[in-house]
This record gives sequence, structure tokens and C-alpha cells, in this order.
Amino acid sequence: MHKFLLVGNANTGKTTLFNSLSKSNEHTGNWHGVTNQEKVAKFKFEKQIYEVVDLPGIYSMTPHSFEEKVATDYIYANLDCPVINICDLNNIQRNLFLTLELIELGMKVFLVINQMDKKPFNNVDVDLLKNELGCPVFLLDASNKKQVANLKAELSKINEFEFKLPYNYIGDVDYNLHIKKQNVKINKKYLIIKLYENDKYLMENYLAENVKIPDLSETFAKKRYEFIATLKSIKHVDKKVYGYSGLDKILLNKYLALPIFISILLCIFYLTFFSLGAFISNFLQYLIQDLFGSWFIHFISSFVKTQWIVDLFDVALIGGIGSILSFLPQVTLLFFFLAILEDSGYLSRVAFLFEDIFSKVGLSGKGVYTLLMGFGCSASAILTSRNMEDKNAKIKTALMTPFMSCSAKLPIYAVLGGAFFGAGNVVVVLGLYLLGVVLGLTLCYILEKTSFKSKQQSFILEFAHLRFAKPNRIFAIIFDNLKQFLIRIGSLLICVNVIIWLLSSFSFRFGYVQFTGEKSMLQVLGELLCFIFKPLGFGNWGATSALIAGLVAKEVVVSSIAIFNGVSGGENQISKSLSSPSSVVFFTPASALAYMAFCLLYTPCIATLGVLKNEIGTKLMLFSVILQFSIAYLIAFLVFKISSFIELLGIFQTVLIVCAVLFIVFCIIFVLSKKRCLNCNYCKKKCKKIKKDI
Amino acid sequence: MLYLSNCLTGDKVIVAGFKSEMPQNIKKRLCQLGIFSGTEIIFVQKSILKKVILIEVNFYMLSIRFDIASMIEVKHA
Repeated sequence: MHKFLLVGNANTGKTTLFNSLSKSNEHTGNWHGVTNQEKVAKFKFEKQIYEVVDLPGIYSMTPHSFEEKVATDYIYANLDCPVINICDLNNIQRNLFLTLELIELGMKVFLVINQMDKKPFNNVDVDLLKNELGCPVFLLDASNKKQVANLKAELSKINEFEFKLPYNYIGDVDYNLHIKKQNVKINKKYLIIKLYENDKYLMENYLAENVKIPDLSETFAKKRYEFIATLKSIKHVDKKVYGYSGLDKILLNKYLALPIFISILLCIFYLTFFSLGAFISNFLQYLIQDLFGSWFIHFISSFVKTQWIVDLFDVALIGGIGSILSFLPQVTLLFFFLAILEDSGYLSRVAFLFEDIFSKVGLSGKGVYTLLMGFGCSASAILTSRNMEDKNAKIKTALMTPFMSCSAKLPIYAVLGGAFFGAGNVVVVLGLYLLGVVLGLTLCYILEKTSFKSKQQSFILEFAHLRFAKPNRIFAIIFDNLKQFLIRIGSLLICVNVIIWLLSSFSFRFGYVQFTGEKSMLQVLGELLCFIFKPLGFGNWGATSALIAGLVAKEVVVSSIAIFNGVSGGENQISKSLSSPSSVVFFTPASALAYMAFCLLYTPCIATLGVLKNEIGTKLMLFSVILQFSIAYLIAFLVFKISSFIELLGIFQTVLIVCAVLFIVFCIIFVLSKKRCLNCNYCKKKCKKIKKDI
Repeated sequence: MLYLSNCLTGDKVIVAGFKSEMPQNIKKRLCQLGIFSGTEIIFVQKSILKKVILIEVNFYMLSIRFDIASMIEVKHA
């Protein structure tokens, strides 16, 4: 079976071609660093099976970030495999730099020139380019099925092609350089060039100890670019500035850039959580729980006479799972807007804007992508931290990500906020999202100033071309995320809900608590632990147990509350049950707010912890668990106390008191900041004056 | 000596060299992207807090940190 490695610069359409070749549905985007680990798929052509490996984007065989290292390591480990090197026609000169390095490495390179904007191809003389580079060349639009089918036919004939080295643009090299290993798999000339380019990885592995060689990377880069400039086949390619349009003058304007970004975010939140999202969500809830749910329970109870089995279906499945499923439209809308932001190329502008702020906390502006993806799913967002250049910056980005409010927490805000804050929930939800971002960045700032100081970073980021987001790509992103959401509901959440229902419905003597009146197993365990949360205002066993269940997946918090309160009628009924003191889980407005803040910040779900462990190690993952729990506890405590104060005194009095306290604190800091001496108990300057007078 | 960071919007300059303090890995990345002595650069704009700059190089746009730009020696085209 042939294996092809898909290699190319970032954002040239590698994953699009990968999807087209193998009919996969991998995440694509108009951003540098969407693919952060190798992905393997197979395709069939004329009864022959081929394997294709999609690798993260690289600009050169000398890696600069963690994801680039993943790609180069994979290439070095599979030197015998042919490479499909995909280049973007809009930026062909720079893309060919990597092509030359791959040819120098001695790989079988199949050059594919991707034309994403569907301009005519006649600017490139394909036959001449084949001769000039000594490798097969193919022009296509990676999303065009017909052209991809033709590419498959060409790929199947790769062994028939006579590969030859192009003109010797590098010149001769010093073959006497002392190399540690003798049986080197890598092409010797390439190895020597890379050693003279001071490639860290190759130097560690191949250069003999104590041998020092000058860094000639600039010289070799120049030689490659000079050779590319002489290629007659691409001389007539349309030279137009790529990545900057007239709209950028508005989007990057120093007065308009931030208001535009904030307006976009506010629109997304409003449409997702309230107007459109809430409307579709209520409709779906009516369909699932009022129509399907009541029919299903009627159907079950017609032939099952055991009450606890009917209750299991009614509360654990229809109530618990239905309560999460009804949020499907809101989750879909959130992914829809994130996909538009990602595919339009606007994210590289946002990264440019936020580099100023991010550099102060030791991060790179590229962290904006991780941060925004964190609003979708923390686990996949953490993987994007691989595009950081520095290890400490990567650790900080990974630790910051779980502070972002992921889509799984959305039902918690909708249910609790809807119950206690009504229309004001817009402000509450927005405040929670903002709180997560501020705390995440503050944590990074503290880590930067203490033990995780980042090295100097370049923030060398290529601007993605601004374009209308493509519907098929948006659909693919939404489909992929919804598939994962539904798989989680269909597998993990059903099991967890059934277990939670069983634990909350049966006593340790296995009696059904509705009939025996005994305490359920979960109630006994919850009552043992709920004292921990008493200072936060939600020290009842139900709320405590829901938080523990939320460690599996955050969606379980709402479904657990629905099970404990015995509700099977959806979001509105759960909300109503929360304010009734007779319910197992009940809140006051202050404790509900504290509960929402706690859910936002406490220990992330198991999937996220698994990714954290892989990316930053077990110790730092445990640090993250303890740190997030502590911060969540502290913030929830403060939120509860301040909210209780407001409940007790009213907003006006509270604002007055807060102002007075702030004034006193300010005065104390002001007085303490004055330098004093023991002589006169006054400032230094005055003291000297007094001394002089004496 | 004129540095890339001192340029104004719309300035067309040619790279003359790099300061010796420039970290080697960053210099390497710039070379890979086609920025070395002799390359023509157009200064497009600075970010709001002036920590990052946007430049045009070989018909594509690139953003780099201001402190890196202050280590790239340039001369007017």
C-alpha cells in the first residue's frame, strides 16, 4: 500500500485536499495552524488502496513551533514515502522554498498547485515547471471533485515518473564535515546544508561533539529564493498583494478595530443565547419533551407496570437527556458563528489586534484562536496551543484555556439564569464569559511574572486572505462538532444519567426511595460533602452531587439537577423547580449566581484533563485541577457574599458601601506607598530637610 | 542606521541586515519567509498599542513584533 505525506505551508489547503482525496471531514479553516497533529485516512483508486497523511503546516524543514516539529519528525521518520507538496498559487514563490528543501532531502515530491480562488491556471507553464524542478506538477482546486479524481489517477502513476534533481543552485558543500553517525538515512548533501543552517534537531543527532560551524541559513535561503526567481514557468503568475484588502483599513483602524470586534462578539452572544437561539431551543424542547416525551412515557407505561422503570425512562432519559438536547440549536449557532469567524480570515486580524495585550502576559496573539475555540470545546482548543513558539507560552495557553466558558456550560447558564435573572441574564452570561477571559489572562500574567516566563517571541504571522466564509466549510465544521456533541449525549451522558438516577432513587438497602422514604445513596454521599459548599450558598446535597457528576462532562450538571428535582418537562420546568425550597436542588438569586461562577471556573471535564495531561504533563495537569478548584471556590464565595449583600441592602446602598470601602482602601494604599523613615515618621524628602535644618 | 520599526506607513524599504542581538531562530524564520538583505518591504501599519507591525513582503502580508522589527536594519528603496 502506498503512503503519501501531505506537506505544505500553513493555510494552503492541505486538509481540504485531504478531505477531498479520502472523503473525510477533518476541520479546515482560513487560519494558520488549524491542523496540529497528523491525520491518516485511506482512499481507493482502481482497486488499489492508498494511505494519505495530513501533516501540520510548515514553512521549512527547520521547525519553529511544536506543531511544525510534529510535521518534520513525521517526514524524517517516513523518508521513503512520496510527498504531495501542496502550494498556494497566490504565493507560489514562498511556497516553493519548502518544495526545494523536500527535493534536496531526496524525497519523491509530487507538486500540487492549489488555486483556491478559482482563477484561470494558464499563468503557470506546468510542463516547463516539471522540467525545471524535476518532479511531477499538477494544478487544481482542492475542493473540485473532478480535478481531485484526475489527481488520484496521476498519483497512481508516481512510480513511472523519472525524478531528477534540478539545477545545482546551492553549489558544492564541504563533505568533510565531521558527522557523528555513518549510516545516515538522510541525503548527505541535504544534511550538510541543514547543519550549516544550524538546524537544532539535526545538529543534536548528527553533528560530532565540540564541532562548531557558522550559521549560513541566510546564504542558503537567498540561494533558494534566487533560484525560484529564475523559474521561467511561474514568471507570469499574477502578482497581487495577498492577504490585505480595502476592508482591512476599517477592520484594523486604530479607532474602529476594537469597537467592531466587541460588536461582533455581542451580536454572536445575543443571537446565540437569547433571541434566535432561545426561540429555536424552546421549539425543540416542545417537540422533544411535550410531544415525543409524553407519547413515549404513555407508550412505555402501557406495557411496563413497574413504577421505577417508568420513572427511569421519564426522568433519567426524557428529562435528563431531553434537557441537554434542547440546547442543541444554541450550541449549533455558537459553532456556526465561530466557523464564520474562522473561515473568513478575520481571526488573523484579531490576533494582530490582541498581540499588544497578549504580549504583556507572555502569550502570543496567536492565543486568540485558542481562546475563541475554548468557547466551543476546551479539549480541542488546548491542542491549538501547539502553534506557540515557546514551551512556557504553550503551557500558559493550555492552562488558560479551561477558564474559557465552553459550550457544555451553556445549559447551566440558561437554566439557572433563566430562573433568577429573566431578561437580565444577557448581562449575567456576558459577565461570566468576560470573567473567564479576565481570570485566564490574569493567571497567565502571574505565571509570566513567577515561574513560566516566556522567551522572546516573534509573532511572525502571515495574514490570511479575507473572504466570505464558504457554506460547505461552515456546514462541515458544524456537522463535525454536532456529531461529537450527539455522540457524547448518546453514549457517555445516557450512561451517567442512568447511574445518577439509580443512585439518587435507591437507598443502600436497594429500596425505591419514593416508596420507602429512605435516604438515597447519592443523598447520603452528597450530605457528607455538601458542607464544603455551604459558605458558597449552595450547600445542599443535590447541588453538590451535580457538581461532582459534572466532572465527567459539564452537560451532566443540568441533567442531574433535572433528575434530582424529578422534572421531565424541560428548561422552563427545571428553572421553576430551582426557586422552590421543597426541591432537592434549590437556589436563591445570590447562590445561583455563585453556582454559575463556580461551574464556569471549577475543574474541567475528564476529556479536557486527558488532553492537558498529554500536552503539558501530569504534574501541571494536577496543578491545573487544584488551581481551578481553588479559584472557583474563592470567586464563587466572593460572588455569593457580594450578591447577598445586594439582596439584603439593595443596589444603591451596596454601591455606596463599595465606594466607601474602595475609598478607604485607596487612602490606606496611598499613605502606605509614601516612603517613611524612623526619624520623623514622615517622607524621606521632608526628613532630609529637617536634618538640614537641625 | 534606519530600522524597520522606525518606518512610517507606506514607506518602501530594503533590508540591509540584522542586528547581532537578533535571536538566531527568529532570523532563520525570517529568512525562510524571504526576508534577508536585499528584500523589499512595504511598511503597512502599526497596531493600536504599537507593539506589532504589519508589513508587505513579496506580495503577502506579515505581522511581526515591534521589538523584532527594531533589529532589522533597512535603507530606503
